[in-house]
Amino acid sequence: MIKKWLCCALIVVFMVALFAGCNNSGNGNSSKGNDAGIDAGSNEINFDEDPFKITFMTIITSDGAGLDDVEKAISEAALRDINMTIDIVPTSFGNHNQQVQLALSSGEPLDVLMMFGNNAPTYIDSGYLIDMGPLLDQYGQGIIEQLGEDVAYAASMNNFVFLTTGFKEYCYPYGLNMRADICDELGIDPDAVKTLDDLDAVFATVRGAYPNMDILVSGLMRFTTTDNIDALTDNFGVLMDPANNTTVTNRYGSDSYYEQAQKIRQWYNDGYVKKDMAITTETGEAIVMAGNAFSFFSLFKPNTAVEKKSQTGYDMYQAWLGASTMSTGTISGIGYAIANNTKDPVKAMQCLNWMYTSSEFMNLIDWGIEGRDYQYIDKENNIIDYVDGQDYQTVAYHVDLGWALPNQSIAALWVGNEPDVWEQYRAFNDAATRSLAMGFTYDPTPVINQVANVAAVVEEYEKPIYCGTVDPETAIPAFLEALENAGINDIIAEKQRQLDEFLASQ
Amino acid sequence: MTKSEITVPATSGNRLLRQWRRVKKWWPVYLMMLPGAAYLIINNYIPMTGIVVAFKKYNVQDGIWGSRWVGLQNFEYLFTSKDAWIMTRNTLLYNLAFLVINNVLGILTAILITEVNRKRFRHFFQSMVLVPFVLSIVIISYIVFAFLSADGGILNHTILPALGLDEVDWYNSPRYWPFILVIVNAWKGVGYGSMIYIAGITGIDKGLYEAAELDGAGKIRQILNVTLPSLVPSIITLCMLSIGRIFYSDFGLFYQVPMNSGTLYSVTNVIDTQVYRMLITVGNIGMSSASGFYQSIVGFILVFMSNMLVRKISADNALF
Repeated sequence: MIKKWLCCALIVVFMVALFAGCNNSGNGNSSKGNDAGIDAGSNEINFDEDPFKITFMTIITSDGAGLDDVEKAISEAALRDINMTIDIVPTSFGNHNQQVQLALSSGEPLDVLMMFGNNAPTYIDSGYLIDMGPLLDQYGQGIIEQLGEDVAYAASMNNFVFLTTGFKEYCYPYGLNMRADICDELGIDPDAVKTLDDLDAVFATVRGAYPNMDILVSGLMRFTTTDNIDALTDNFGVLMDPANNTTVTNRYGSDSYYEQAQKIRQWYNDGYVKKDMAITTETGEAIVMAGNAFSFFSLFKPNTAVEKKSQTGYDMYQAWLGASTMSTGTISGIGYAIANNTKDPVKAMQCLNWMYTSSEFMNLIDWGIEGRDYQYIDKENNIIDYVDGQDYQTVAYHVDLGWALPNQSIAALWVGNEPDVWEQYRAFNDAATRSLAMGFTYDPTPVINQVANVAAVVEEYEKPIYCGTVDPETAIPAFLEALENAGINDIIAEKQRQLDEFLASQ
Repeated sequence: MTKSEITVPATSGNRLLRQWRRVKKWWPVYLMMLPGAAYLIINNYIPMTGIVVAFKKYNVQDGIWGSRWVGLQNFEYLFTSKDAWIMTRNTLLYNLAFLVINNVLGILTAILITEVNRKRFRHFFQSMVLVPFVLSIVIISYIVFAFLSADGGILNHTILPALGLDEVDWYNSPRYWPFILVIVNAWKGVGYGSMIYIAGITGIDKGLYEAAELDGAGKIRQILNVTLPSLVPSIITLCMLSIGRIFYSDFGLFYQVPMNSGTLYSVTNVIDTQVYRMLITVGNIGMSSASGFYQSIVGFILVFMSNMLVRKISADNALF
């Protein structure tokens, strides 16, 4: 008798445990109700009403309890400046897209989020985002001042501004990073290297002195925005001369592509390129750090030297080789958007505006709490370093993702950078040519099958070509034929049509 | 007639009564089954309805049921590309080769292991043979890389010169790869596959072997006439389960081991890798579901057909 009752009790316990796991999360209908026109009210902050809670989803690379104090400090500052509290939802690079999808599709509270530009077509189509264009006009003056007007509105598709970029470099010239110690030893002057042909002599010299060293540990044309090309999102149909010409063409069939393929093939045959380059997944930085390598290509920005030194452990000289153009693609890679779930888009934009203009916020979110996570070593030049006795392993909070955060130019500078590095960035950006297609993002839906097929073809042929493993004489014609069979001409025609429509509406 | 023995005539109306009486009698057991059954239904059966996503243009705002029907549009990309036939051919041929070779080697290994008399050695070999199975496929791809690499690989730099042969550019020569992949897959999978056969063999009545020996059968004869026929049910079961997955492939094997080398695609591209390459930039949920639908429907049909075939040949061995 008792056994039977014990049995029943156990069963009930199991059942309860089963259903306890079911969480009655919020209902699935996310509101489409924010279509109501943006109230052209004043930009004044109303301190008499209750503080508005902003939910901010962004990538935080620092784990651990350090975030809680930072979040509290940020909320205090926000309360004081704009009468809002901020609830930070941290994600990582690996799961950011999934977290965003979950939050946006389940109607969870979300106001401001970091997003990757290549998700724009999907998010806009699904109604996840709010058009920031009108909001920027009214409430985003700070952002416009910091970024410049054309950059602030650049990330848009069919006149829907989907994100605002962080402050960083907006064009990506490429060049060769070379081991400084070897260059000095052999008398190689990085500034004298201006073209790829100049490198022949450099490589030969290094090979003569170091017969067993890997001379070049990266491929050549993997950078999608080199040679002043506007990649128009995916490189399937590009603008070869975006500052002057708006004809969409096939990059892989161009003369410059062929010439560069010949060049890397020549270096492969001369033994300068690792034979396994096409199947290596290591980056050039990692291989140089391991020891026996001389140079690799990468994208450059004003303080590349500092970055490469910390990534490889060696001093590296930069030989600048290719110019680059500012385009929608270079600007809208990563940035901040306003979710459709927000209860008040105006307040969300005001919060974002504050993030772009508040040094206090930027220092807190990038570097942490002063005194605990960092200290000033040069207050006048705004330079900081770890607190004595701490390093990157022991510090409680240290994100260092300046290029992904709203405005790194108003935050403190990490040690090693020159004090005027932000001026250098601004000069760098101002000097860059702009693509005529700025503000244009194409919608791939009409040609989605062709895009899928072309993507597979590019995966198959591109890497062996840009690592010199195959002979371009035979490989490039085969590549072009496969591209045609996959439908690249349809994609080009569609892109041209959309681009012409966009330009006509400007 | 006691209270717990209730016999009723076996007519259909009373069948229901019998069922109900059975539930009333054994209700604690049925209750215990409930969570497991609920889990199975919720996790395995209800999501099957999501298969309709393959026929819709999925929009996260509208959800699965609100999204628009687009008929067979999501399947077009699978069949219009020039490589569609190649990827299907590769998938089928590799899976057939794996089926045959892994089972043959599995049975061979099982027989060899069970022939070992010292218990400790037998357990040692059983564990050793399982080790490759638990290795991650990424590690295995680097072991293969250590052999085949052009820059420092053992084959090119030590073994082939010792045999007087030229170096081979392995990662750019498609014709060796069917063999390489079959060998790697066998090396990895045989240990696991042989476990079921070992269990089958140890279950065979020892009396049968004694009888065979009395009749004058040597070792090989015994294996052919006693061991193999007793294993036939296991072989059929494993084969039919493999047939159900004939359009699926081990993604790691076909993507990682060839180090994603483009020049090898004609022989290493299978449905899973091709779809991955096509959709990783596009990210269209309807299209990727269409590929899963294609693979699972074909497997489903083949399992049914092969089961019918087996039932015709020897009814006991059919799965259902």
